[in-house]
Amino acid sequence: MENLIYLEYAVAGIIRYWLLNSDYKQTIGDRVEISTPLNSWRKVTEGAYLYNEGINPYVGDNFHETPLGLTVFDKMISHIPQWIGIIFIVCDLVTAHVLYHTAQIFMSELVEKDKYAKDTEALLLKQSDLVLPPVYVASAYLFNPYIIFSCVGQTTTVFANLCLAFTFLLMIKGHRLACCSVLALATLQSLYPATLLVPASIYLAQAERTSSLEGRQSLRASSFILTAVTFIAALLLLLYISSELAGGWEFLHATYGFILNVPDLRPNVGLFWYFFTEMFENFRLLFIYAFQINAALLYLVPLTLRLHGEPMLLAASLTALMAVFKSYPSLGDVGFYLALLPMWKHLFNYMQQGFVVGCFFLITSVMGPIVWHLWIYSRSANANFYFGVTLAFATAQIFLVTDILFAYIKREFSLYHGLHREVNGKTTKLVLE
Amino acid sequence: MKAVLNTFACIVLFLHSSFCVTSVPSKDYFDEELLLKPLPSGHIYAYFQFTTVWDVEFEVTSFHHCHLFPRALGEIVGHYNVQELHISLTGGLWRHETWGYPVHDAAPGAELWAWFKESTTSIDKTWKELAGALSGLLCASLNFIDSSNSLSPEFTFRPTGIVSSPAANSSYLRYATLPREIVCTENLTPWKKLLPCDAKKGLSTLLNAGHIHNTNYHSLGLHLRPVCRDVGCSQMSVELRQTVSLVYDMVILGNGNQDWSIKKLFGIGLSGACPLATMSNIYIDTTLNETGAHFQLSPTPPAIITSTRGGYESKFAVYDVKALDIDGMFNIAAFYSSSRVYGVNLPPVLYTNRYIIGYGQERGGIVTKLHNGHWKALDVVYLENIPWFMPLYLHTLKILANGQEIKPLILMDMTLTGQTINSYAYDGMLKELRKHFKPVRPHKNPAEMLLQHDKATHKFEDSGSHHKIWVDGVNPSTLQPQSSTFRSPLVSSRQGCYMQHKVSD
Amino acid sequence: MGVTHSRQLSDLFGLSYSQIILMVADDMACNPRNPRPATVFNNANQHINVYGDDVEVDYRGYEVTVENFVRLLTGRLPPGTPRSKQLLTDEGSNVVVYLTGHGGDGFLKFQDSEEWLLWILLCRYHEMFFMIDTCQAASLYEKFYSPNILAVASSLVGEDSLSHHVDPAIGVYIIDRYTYYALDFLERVEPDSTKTMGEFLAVCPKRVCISTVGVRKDLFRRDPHKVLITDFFGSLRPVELTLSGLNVTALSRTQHQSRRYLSTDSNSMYQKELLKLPAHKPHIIHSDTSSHNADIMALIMHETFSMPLPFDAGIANPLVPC
Repeated sequence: MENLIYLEYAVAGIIRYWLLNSDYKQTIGDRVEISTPLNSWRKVTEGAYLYNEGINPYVGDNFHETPLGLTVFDKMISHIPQWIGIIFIVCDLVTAHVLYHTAQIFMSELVEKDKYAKDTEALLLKQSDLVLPPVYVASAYLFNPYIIFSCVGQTTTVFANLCLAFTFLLMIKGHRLACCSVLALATLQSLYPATLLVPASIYLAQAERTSSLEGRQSLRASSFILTAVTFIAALLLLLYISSELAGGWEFLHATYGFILNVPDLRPNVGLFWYFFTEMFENFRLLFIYAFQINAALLYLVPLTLRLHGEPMLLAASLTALMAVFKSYPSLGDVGFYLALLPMWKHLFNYMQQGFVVGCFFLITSVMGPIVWHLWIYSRSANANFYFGVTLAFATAQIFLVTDILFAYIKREFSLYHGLHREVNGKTTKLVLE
Repeated sequence: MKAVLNTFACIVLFLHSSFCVTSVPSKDYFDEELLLKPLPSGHIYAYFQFTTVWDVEFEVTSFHHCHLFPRALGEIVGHYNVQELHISLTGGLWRHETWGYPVHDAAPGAELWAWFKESTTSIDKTWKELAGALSGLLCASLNFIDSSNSLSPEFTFRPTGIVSSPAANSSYLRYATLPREIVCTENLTPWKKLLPCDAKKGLSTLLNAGHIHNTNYHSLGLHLRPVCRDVGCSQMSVELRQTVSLVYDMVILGNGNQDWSIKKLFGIGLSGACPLATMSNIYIDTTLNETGAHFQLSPTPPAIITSTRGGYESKFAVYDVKALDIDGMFNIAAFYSSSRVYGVNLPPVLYTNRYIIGYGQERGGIVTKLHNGHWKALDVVYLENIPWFMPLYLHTLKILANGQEIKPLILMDMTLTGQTINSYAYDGMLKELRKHFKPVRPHKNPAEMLLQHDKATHKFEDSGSHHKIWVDGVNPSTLQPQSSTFRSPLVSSRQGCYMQHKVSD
Repeated sequence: MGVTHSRQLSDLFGLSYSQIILMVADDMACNPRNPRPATVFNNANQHINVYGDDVEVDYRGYEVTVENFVRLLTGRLPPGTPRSKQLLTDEGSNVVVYLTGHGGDGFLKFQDSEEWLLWILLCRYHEMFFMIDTCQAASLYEKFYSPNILAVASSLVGEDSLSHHVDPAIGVYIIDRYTYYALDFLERVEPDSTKTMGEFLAVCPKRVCISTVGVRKDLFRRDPHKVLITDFFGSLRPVELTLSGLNVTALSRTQHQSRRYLSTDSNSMYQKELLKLPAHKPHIIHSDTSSHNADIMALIMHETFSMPLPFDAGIANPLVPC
């Protein structure tokens, strides 16, 4: 199995390398679905250039990386420009590897369960089921066109995904300090991963429970508090370092202010741009609040209440919803959570909308560039066309997430109540009300 | 006794009146000049200059008692603490390559810049209010100017009037352009009202809207500055120059006939000089008479003067309107004896072309070509004002001269101002780009500057309207002569001439 | 075109530009498409240049917005706004508002991205006369409730206002029907005319205007047939000279004419003017050159023949504007 993985890495690396050095690199990197104002490498280069010329890159509207990122990228651009592509490829491979390990640990967790109904043996996971899903996870990450394009386009989403992957790994392993630090780093870059603090806290509390030999059944509150405090401390430290590097706090407006206020309405695969182009100015603040709460907070509490026993699924769902509803999503974000799905391969039988979702993905991925060209270059379409495609894409993703969650619920129900259900002698079907 | 009393009364009255006479307001004088210059390309360049010089200190209290100086403008200038003011409203593009240099260059649209006095506080606020007041004065939408589309260029502008200290502090300078602004009758009307004779007498009667806007290029200008009252410069005066620059296309106007006259150009002859004018002259540039198409002026010019400037010799026929004995309408006509000759114009020392490259609404680039016609290399300071909906990528700046890439040297100063995006898309973030570099080698290949940018036109795409992209003009400047009337610099030869010209796409 | 015609008219009646506020959203005279720059003709044959040599446009281009229009009428302009851009009316002013452009049921189109729904409350006027020449113009005055407003609209709800004729040289329709006939009527009125507003309101019967002209006179306390047209469109009053001082008292409301008295004393000559005012308020106003008796601020607006938005109602053919 290890050989297979390494082979996959090699092939993925070769594909990425080839694309990076081909003529398509600039085309891919320029596409709005791949590059948003937040992760575009062009803007990073521009920011580094301004920084080197002694001009504050945060004044004006062209640069939205954190000062930490600015410093790192500036060093990369000025000292090792020819290696930048390789760095992106290596980061991608590392991310895949981290996800592989995460999946392995997660699958081994799934096997240990108890107290299920008597005829559910068919549903339970066996040892043999543990081998393939991690490979699938790695493959899903390595060979997903969205991720490949995101890497070749040199978007900083590659680094964001790396941080997220490490968060997942450290979360599941139970290393509090490391997990919170990486999570703080991810939050520093794009703010929304802060919601992953909840599943991370749950995991860390579980890890503490299992590591302590007292055998408690409930999770300790102090664990949560400690996790939160660690996270906040790490975040504040990073912000402090950033302000020292930037010489002030005005970078907050250009980074988090930009993410929250959404001033740049360049089209992307998200839902914000169209709404805010069309609405009247005096309603803007209301809708900003509404959309941001939807993106970050709205689903956090209900999902946590339902899925507190399954923090990995909770984390994956939150990641997925973040990728759909955040202010400047890109295909790199979408590809990340798609790569996590094979961890729940056992739920795929219960999914009902797989075909529909698959078709949606395929069609919108093809239609998107077409209507973009019609709109921007041929001038025969308009924003509505592109937004229609984007809306369909978002709908597909939402279908996917709800399908997975529903499949999980159905399987859980079947586990606890048996596979064969009969009411008054007739076979029944599970429906969600 | 009665006679003595009467005499006494007369003497008293006389003294009283003489006191009144001596306590007159400060001396001011008004000159009006018109230059008509046939260009080698067959166009006619007409330039009006109305100069009012008022021997008074540049204080707000001075403007309470105006004589020839327009009070409306004086009150605005005094109230807002303005040291120097330049406004221009232009329609059309000046073709430097074929027409040479105009007397006053102006970018298309509205252009406004002002130097404020050093005692001014909160300059941004004062600037905005000044623009608003001027918009009411000239019926132009200058009130769209505020801090988000104004710049304080450091190198490009220098005060053209007298200053208190040699180092000009550019934080007192504000510059803004509105390239989309039109100029029409409604601007000419209040502009004419600022003249001492309004449009009733003198050369300003020639400014008929229907004729002067029927031109390839028409520009109204207003330039106010403090000048030295005498050679020793112990006292200052206020100088106001109102200018009109026009370029007529004689092929269209002439209907096949290349003869032109004042009546043909302006629709009316001249009935006399403005009585309040000290000087009222018409100059016709007859330099082309020797080299290009020969024309005969009627009536014969009473005087011809020769001017040598920068190595070029020009001949002008001068008509002193005040000295003329005008009966009815005075008209100057030029009759061409030969068939139409299109002269080849030697391009001037520095001229620029600009164009936009790229296609589609996503991204594009701007290329600026600077042509150097001088025999040695020139230093150019380049000022550019880019609107917010064209986010620039400075790292894509590439300057090519003679096929080699040169880096902008010495100083690169980029100021990003403001950031307010409203639904009409002009206010917003602008970038001013200044480079001081030494490129541009003589003739042959122009130096090219390429800058890439994105287009953020989606903000007003969806309202259904079709907006063109208006990019402000660019100011490449090299070194500028100064004097009050057109006549004075006619004989001058100096080593360096600061010259600034405005280009647009 | 209608805008400058009305301005021309007001000019005929002795109104100076300080009393007119002109809002023109599009540049027609100096538009590159105009074969005769700086000119706007009211009629393809008559060749009267209504743009004139002394036109002053106060709000032009993108300054013509709903917000600026409402601020102008309510007087809530930002500080520092020049006087030429302010309405400067008071309780004794008679105001004429002339609106033309594209409109629909209950709205008037401003630029290509805004529309105005007539809900504003106007301050500081004595009597107001609204002339609206758009499609479904009557819908714009239906919601008025302030007193002393007389309104006339070129079409009722559900009807389109039509243009009069086209100038083939330019390729656009020059003038709208209602404006054409209104202009025709006003051009033949002398400053001392005794024609009434009632006659003016009936200036365009259905057979020439094709659309039905609507009138809203219930808010107007006087009978339009007894109101002189010069109350709104002119500012000349009969003047009596006297050398003695006068005791001035308020006139009652029923008096039509107001008197202007000139009185001299040893130091200066000043004018005392009486306005039509509520009976409980005696009012002497020293006039300055800008506020005459019937302070007439003709407020004019024009919209262009631009492409309509998809959601615009009532516009069928962009070349035949409302």
